[in-house]
Amino acid sequence: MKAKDIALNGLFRQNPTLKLVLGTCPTLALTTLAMNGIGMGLAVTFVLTCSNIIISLLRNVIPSKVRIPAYILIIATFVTVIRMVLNKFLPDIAASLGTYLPLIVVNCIILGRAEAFASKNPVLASCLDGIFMGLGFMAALTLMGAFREFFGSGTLFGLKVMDFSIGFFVQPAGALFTYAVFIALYSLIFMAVTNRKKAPKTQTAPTTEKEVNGNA
Amino acid sequence: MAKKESTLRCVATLTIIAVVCAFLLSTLNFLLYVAPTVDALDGVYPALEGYNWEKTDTVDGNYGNGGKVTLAAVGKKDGGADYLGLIVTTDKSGKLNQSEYAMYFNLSTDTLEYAAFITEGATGGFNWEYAEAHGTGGGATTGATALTGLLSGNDNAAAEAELKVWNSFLNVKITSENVLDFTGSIPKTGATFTVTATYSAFNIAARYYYENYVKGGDGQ
Amino acid sequence: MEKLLISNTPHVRGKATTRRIMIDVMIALLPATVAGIVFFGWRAALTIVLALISAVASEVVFRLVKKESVKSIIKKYDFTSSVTGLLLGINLGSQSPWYTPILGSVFAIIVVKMLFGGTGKNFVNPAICGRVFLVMSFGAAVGSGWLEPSIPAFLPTESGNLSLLDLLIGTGVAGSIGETSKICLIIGGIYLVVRGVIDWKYPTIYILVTGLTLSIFKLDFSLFLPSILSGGLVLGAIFMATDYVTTPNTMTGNIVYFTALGILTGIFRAVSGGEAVSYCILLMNFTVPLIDRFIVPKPFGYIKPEKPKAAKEGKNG
Repeated sequence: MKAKDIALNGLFRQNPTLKLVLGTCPTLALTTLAMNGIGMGLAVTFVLTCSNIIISLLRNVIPSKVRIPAYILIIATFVTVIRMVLNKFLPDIAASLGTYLPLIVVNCIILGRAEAFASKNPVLASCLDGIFMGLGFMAALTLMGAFREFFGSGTLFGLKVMDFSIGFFVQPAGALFTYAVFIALYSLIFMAVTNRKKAPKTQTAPTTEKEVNGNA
Repeated sequence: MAKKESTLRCVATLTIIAVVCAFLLSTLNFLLYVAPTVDALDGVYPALEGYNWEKTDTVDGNYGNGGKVTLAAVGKKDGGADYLGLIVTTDKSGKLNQSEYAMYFNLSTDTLEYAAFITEGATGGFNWEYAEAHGTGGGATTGATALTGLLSGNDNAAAEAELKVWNSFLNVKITSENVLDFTGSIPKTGATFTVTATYSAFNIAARYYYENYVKGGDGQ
Repeated sequence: MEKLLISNTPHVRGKATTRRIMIDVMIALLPATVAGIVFFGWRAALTIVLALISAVASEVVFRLVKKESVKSIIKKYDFTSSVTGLLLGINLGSQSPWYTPILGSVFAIIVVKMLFGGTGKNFVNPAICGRVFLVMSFGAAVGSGWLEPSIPAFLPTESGNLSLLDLLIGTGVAGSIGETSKICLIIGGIYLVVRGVIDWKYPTIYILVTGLTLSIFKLDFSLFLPSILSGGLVLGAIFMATDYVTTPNTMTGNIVYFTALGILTGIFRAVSGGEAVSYCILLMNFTVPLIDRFIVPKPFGYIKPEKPKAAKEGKNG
């Protein structure tokens, strides 16, 4: 039950991109291609899972005064690791992510989850939280990337789909537009789901609300 | 009293985390080292636009003197002279240790034509125009004597005095006279220490060129 | 005139007033539209008609989706989307592919206007936004028109074969459909001033400041007249920048707004060498809330408080 909750939170209820609106910098900059979403999503999932595990393990050891520098050290280490791994084995993806790869260090999803979840929860839960938050981020980025790639370049995952394209969508203004559209759609679905849940059991919705406020 | 202890604990925790992380990263850095590819030589030297680089066998580029040649490639273009492009990676000595340099030799004139950083190493801030920045002035010493002086095992002070500006190394014809072994010992004065890695990089490149393109054949 | 400017408190304007203004604007655009069709031919007419129809259709469809009744849509229809469609149409080149006016109108009406709450709620001018959307997406295909002899739309002195009279009338000038004939635009502008729809001061400030800034930047005052008579400056100044919704509420605010707009356009034109009117208007549209935040109308009989309180003024207002 708990694991299911964590999974649902990461993927949907507290989706880091669409609900918590964290990590907007890579979201806006990298979603020109669907493939970027997968690459960035996997990199973030790796870093998030590893840093959550380590921070959760050390949560009683790290003095709260210096927790932020300690988290940053741990996160930076894993970012460097994933960077080296990608450079070695998947240089194409590393090149397309460019400078946003090292910038995962300051991605607020990771620090946010460390502070809000991993520092308060046991290892297994933190690990799951890292995995599902990362996957939620990846799903959002990939969907946005597919949308922008489809309309902006007429391709999907690099394959030609149509000859017609609207350049607006691959430009920065299109990124903000797409982000707004996705948040609107997400809120629509979110409201529909919570309303349906409200009908039989009135207590479910308020608790979700509380949780959202508490963790955001 | 309690406060002091907690400060100590904070510092200790951070130090331990930092040390563990650094250890992990340096191990992985060694394991996951990516050798430079010929793409690294492209676009560094503006005059060589449109050149096609082809990797050559890097014959033991390690002379045990502060770094090694990690990539050697010959660049060709219709209507242009052939070039040897080298990527030199320096060891852990001096400032800019573990930096990567691209060096370009003109194969028809046997001269070093261009050099530039590709990646800056652990400590940055090195000024190519080293001597100018430090007010020792340049110009009086010609390139050939600068290189000869540097590479001939002069003592540190002399070597530093002759390392005027990095441009001094340019257009130096690589001959048996000016390529001599640099023992690789690290000079102790601060200023010279600063340039050590860069200085090795030039030496290594010149040495490599001499060993592979001047010594054996080419009618020398 | 004064009663039509939106004053500090949002007043509910009668729909008859909005309708009358919009119909006036369309009448004022008529000479330039006709001139454009005469100069550029049937393709221009097609572009304008497509933009107009799809703008109106977008609004109607949006309202139908929001479950408004057909009767109320017709009753409440205030012609703003017709004006947007017409403005967008004459802002495009005559050689634009057929789908561009449609896409631009849909974007302008649905995204910029209706999603933000309809007439009076849009935070930027929909027609400008539609044009910028198309220029970003399809580039030169919609940005400038074509007419023999084709010359760069901006700074004709560089190509030299056009007289100032040509620029004024629009003969042989390349550009968007409605922007070439300055004389027709000015006639339309005079009509709007006479009907009390716009204030003559603001477009004048914008046009003059742009010409001055450009001349100062290029240190060449012979550029003054050609620069204000070329490109979309006159069209933008009279019909786009003066949009009530996206201009400040006070006279001081408006003077600041149009002066800044002129300086910005002049600098953009001088530095980039391209047409900058629509981007500059869009950019300045964003500053309107800021200007209104800091330039607040003085209440009647207001006496300036003593110094220590003066700092608070902005906040209280």
